[in-house]
Amino acid sequence: MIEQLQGSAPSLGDFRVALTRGMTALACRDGRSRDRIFDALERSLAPATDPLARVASGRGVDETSDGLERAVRLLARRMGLAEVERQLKLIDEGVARQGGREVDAAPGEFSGTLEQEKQSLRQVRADAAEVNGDMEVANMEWLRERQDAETHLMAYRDRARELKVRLQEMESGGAEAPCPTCGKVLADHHARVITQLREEWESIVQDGSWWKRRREQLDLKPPALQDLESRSVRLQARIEAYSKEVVRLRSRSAGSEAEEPPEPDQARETAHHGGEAVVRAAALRALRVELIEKARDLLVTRAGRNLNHLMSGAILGVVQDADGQPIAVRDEGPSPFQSDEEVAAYVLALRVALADLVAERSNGLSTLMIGDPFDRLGREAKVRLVGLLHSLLPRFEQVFLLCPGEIVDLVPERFDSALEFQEGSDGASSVRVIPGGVGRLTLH
Amino acid sequence: MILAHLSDLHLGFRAFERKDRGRNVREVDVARAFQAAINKMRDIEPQVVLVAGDIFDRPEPTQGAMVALARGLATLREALPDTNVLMVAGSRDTPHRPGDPGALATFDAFPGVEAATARRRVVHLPDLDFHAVLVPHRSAISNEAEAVTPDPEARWNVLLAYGDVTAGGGSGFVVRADEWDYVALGHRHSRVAVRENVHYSGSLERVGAAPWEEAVAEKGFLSFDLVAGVSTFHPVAGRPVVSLEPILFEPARKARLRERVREVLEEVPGGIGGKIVRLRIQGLGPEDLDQIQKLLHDYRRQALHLEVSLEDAPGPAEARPDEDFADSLSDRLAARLGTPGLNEDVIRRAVEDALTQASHRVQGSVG
Repeated sequence: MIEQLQGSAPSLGDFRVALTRGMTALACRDGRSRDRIFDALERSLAPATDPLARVASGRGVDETSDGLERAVRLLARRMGLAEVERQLKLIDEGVARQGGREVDAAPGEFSGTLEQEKQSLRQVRADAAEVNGDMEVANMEWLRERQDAETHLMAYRDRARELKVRLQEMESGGAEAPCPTCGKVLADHHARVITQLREEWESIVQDGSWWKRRREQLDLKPPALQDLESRSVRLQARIEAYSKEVVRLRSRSAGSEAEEPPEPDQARETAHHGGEAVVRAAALRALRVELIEKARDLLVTRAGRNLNHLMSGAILGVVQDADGQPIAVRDEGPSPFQSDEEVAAYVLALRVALADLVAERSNGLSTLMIGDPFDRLGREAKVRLVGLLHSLLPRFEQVFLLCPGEIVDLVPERFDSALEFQEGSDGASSVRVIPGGVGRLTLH
Repeated sequence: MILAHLSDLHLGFRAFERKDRGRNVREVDVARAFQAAINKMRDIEPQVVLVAGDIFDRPEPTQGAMVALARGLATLREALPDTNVLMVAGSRDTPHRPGDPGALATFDAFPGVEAATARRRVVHLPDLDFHAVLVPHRSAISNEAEAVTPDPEARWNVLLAYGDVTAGGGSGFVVRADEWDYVALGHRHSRVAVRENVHYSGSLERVGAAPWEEAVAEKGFLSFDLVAGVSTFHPVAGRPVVSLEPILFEPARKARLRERVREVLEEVPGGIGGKIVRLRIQGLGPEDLDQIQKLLHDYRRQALHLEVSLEDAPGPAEARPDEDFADSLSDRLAARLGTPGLNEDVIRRAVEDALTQASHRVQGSVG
């Protein structure tokens, strides 16, 4: 549970506020500030690279087919894929040490059939989608930290410069110099004020040096990000290699169908003829495929149900087209999303479905955060989404909705509390707590 | 001494994006229901009309909603000039900015009308020897109303409040039912008699986010005879809402689904024309959505709104997610990959080990 939200935003300044259980609206009219509040909330939850934090915040789960694949991978991991892959890796390492063939074929070592290589291609694409998602998050984190360091450094430099000038003025003015706070002549207090000011200046210079070093550190990409980038490049190369192999096998299959046995199952062949480790690896590889397909079924079905609800039944559900792109199913049949609102509703339906399915399988996910693209929904879909989120409360301790604020007026009874962020008159931020729900009468 | 009690008018409520002469059809429905209730009051001739919150659907109501309320009050004043109207703001009438009293405050200036929007208000009507305490949403939620007390000198004591009743021992402000002649409550859309003298009148129309939940209940308002201590319900006709029994999709008899959909939609007494209808289909997966393709278009045109809700098939609630999947998976993989008596056990063990370990890791995770 997140008990406190602390951060800063350009138009709000620093903010710190206590959070409670239940459903909370975080209302802020400025879109950029809302993003910063969302970032602060996400940082309070867990590191952004934590898979559960990504589920809770919906990072990377967007309208693209990659977004769906990332969501499928995240769910499959909670269903056991992570363990299957860990065990497979152990077997692979053992086989490799014994000079055997690696279970995951490297490019150039293709030995499978068209169906197997297509399956491998899908698998590598899914891996690439996940790595790209992680890379995107890590890159954003790096840029944000670098910007943060830069901002702090500039602020410290300005402050140090200002203090330096003031010190020089006071030193040259001697005992007749005015007090920087009240404007009175310092007289006997001159030396003490000078000392205090100098200490403050030195402290600021020292802190500023720390931020300077921090900024220099962040000039280079962090090793974890570099590693992700090189993994992404390697996976891209594998995708290309597998794609070429699939094309080659497809043309061969089209040219001489008689030469190709009908749908042979490489895994079955391996399982029949290999030793125990190889049989186990074949079983785990088959299990990996099953888990991903099961996760896909669950996710597409649940996201479709959510979308059906958000769009008042006008959209019946979601399916994937031949390229893996998610599309809507209507009375007339499948067709692409037709408006910005439909795309936004699909993204939110998918995020809620993922969080709900993961929470059903995990005791670690108790927070759900919804922000952009909530504002792109129409009024009725907004109200329905708030109802849907409210229905998840028994499973989630906290649900946060970042919004411009009008939804709090539309369905105030749905929120346990609402926090309104606004710029104060003196430039400082103000966070106002709006009590939520309805009043209670105890009848005797 | 007769009171009329209504609540949750939700004037300005809009839904389903269907328009009639430029106005949202549901907004017109809600305004009509209010006007119908006012017309019925001509016969009842109450001395006091109590309106217990959520008068508007939102704190910044549409102009149509403002006109509907003003017109209703004017009609009432013309027909029953001595009748007093007491109103409290509900959560929907209350802007989230604390200094803003909301649009309802405008009507506080109308003759014979008291509209409490922020603070608790005490109203005394000397001609009727009638004492009322008005507790609007903002007061109830801030617990300002903690000590609402009747006036022992008054002949009649009435409490008008917006909020949720909890059984004894809960939080919020305390109401001793026997100290009041009548307690008029607002917030719930269904009519509820909490005690003989404590009532929710319910909304005049089915204006909830899920109108299906209110489909069966009759809508209207209450009158209460303070002398006899008797309440009477006065129905107000609204737009019909039909919630159909769910249809279970049978994968073995896919074609049956189209027949069942037609049957249930065509069996609605009086047809579905102009009604708000929910059709529920259970267990229809994305791969089978083509079973209802090109079937619903005409029905959607007939109904004011046809909501097609696709739901999961009902199953045992206690089943753990993936339990069936894990059990059947090792069997399926063993059958697919194994040689009986040779590799089958290895495969079964591999699958069970992996899924069991994964389950332990997930159960042990703290995020």
